[in-house]
Amino acid sequence: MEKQNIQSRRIISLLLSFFIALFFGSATYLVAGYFGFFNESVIYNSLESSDYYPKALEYYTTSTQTLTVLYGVDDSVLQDTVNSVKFKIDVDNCIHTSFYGKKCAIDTQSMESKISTNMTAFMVAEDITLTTEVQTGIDEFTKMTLDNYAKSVNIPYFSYYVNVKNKADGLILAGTIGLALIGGFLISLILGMYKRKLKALRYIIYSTITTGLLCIIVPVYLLWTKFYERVQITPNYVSQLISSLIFRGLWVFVWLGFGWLILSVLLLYLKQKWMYQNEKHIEN
Amino acid sequence: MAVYLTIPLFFSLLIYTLVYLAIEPVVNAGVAVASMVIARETPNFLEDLTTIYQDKNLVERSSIPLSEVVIPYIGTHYANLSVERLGVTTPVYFGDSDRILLAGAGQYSGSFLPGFKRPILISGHNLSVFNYLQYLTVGDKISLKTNYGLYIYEVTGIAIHNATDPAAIDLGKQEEELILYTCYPFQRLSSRKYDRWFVYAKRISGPDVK
Repeated sequence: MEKQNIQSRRIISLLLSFFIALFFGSATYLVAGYFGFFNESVIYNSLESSDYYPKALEYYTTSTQTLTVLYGVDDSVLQDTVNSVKFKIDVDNCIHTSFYGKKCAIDTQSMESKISTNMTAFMVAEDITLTTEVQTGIDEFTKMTLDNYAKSVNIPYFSYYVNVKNKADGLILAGTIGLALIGGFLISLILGMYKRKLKALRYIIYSTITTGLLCIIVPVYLLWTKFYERVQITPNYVSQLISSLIFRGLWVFVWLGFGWLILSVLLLYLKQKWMYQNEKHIEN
Repeated sequence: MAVYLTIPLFFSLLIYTLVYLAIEPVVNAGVAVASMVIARETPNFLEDLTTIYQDKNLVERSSIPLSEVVIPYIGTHYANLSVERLGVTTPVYFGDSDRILLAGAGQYSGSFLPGFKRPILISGHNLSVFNYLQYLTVGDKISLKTNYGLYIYEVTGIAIHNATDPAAIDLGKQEEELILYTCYPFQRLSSRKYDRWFVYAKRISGPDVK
């Protein structure tokens, strides 16, 4: 009878251990999802590491040069209208405001007046008479350049990302707390089943090791396949940003997985130490 | 001690399997969406334009095997377009991105290469490389020289269409028509150009690709 009870207790403990790993693993995935993908600082880091700012600025410059060719004006009309510092500030501002659900407002006043000054100088140099049609052309060129700038400082598809993030935020918080509480409750059940808590600890260690492995195996496989390097979205600098974001995000999973494994090693060490102390205590 | 590895490994595999089975439809939908934006190979993000064009003397032939034709990548200068009467030559790139159109004329990648008996659609900016389109007249000869053949086309028509007019271009045609187009009007700083200037030409010589 006693033997049967021990056997049943083992099976139940293993089952509980399995479910603890499932709940802790899910909670860790949610936390990793937040810190790896939906965190504002992750976006800035990915922008830096993927060289987003200079590439996006170059893209803006090329598309604006196309406008100059279309309207038959010299590149000089765009001189000193934008620089890398202003561009970076505007991109960061847009991210920050978009993150909090606000519409990004760019101050293009200084750009507009600079284009106007440059355009006047160009017309004088080229001896172009200001007719109504030419004025309409200038107004259209200026508007298209400013619109192009406003578009360039907004990360393409970022609004979709913010939508997903806003929906996921609540779910991540509630899910993490809920799953952690259920996991904690199951741990207390295992501990309650054993008079000698050290015996229960082994099942908790199974759970923590499993959680660590869950967070490591698939993300490491994905990092190994480097699938994120094959992302192809135009413009190209967006592909590289997404690629960098996925790379960094997957590493967050791996680091959290290692955190669980370190915790497991620590628990294992404590278990061995306490066992040794207990044995000594019994001997004495 | 091995039990601390085997049991968690077994648990992990079991959880992965269960989760996969539970969310299989979502995974499949995700994979389908991802396959649209994930290429088979790592894309080359170098946006520098390249050239395969060699200005060499070509032997006249009525046909050439497909194996001799190097299909250009996007951004590759693969031909030169000339109008002898006007004394102009324009490099033709495969693709028609902003960067390409700043460097020369660009062939829409959904149209065909010369010699394939199908339409060829080439665009260029009206105040730079394709400014001379306004001076072309019906009967003018346009040559398109590639590494595999020299193709001569004769202008059959000139028309102005709205940029969105579907009647302007028929890429499904079963004949080799060279279509050149640019923005219209041609004046500098004129208001936004909603119209396009089209030049249509039929092939009169050059080898067929077989």
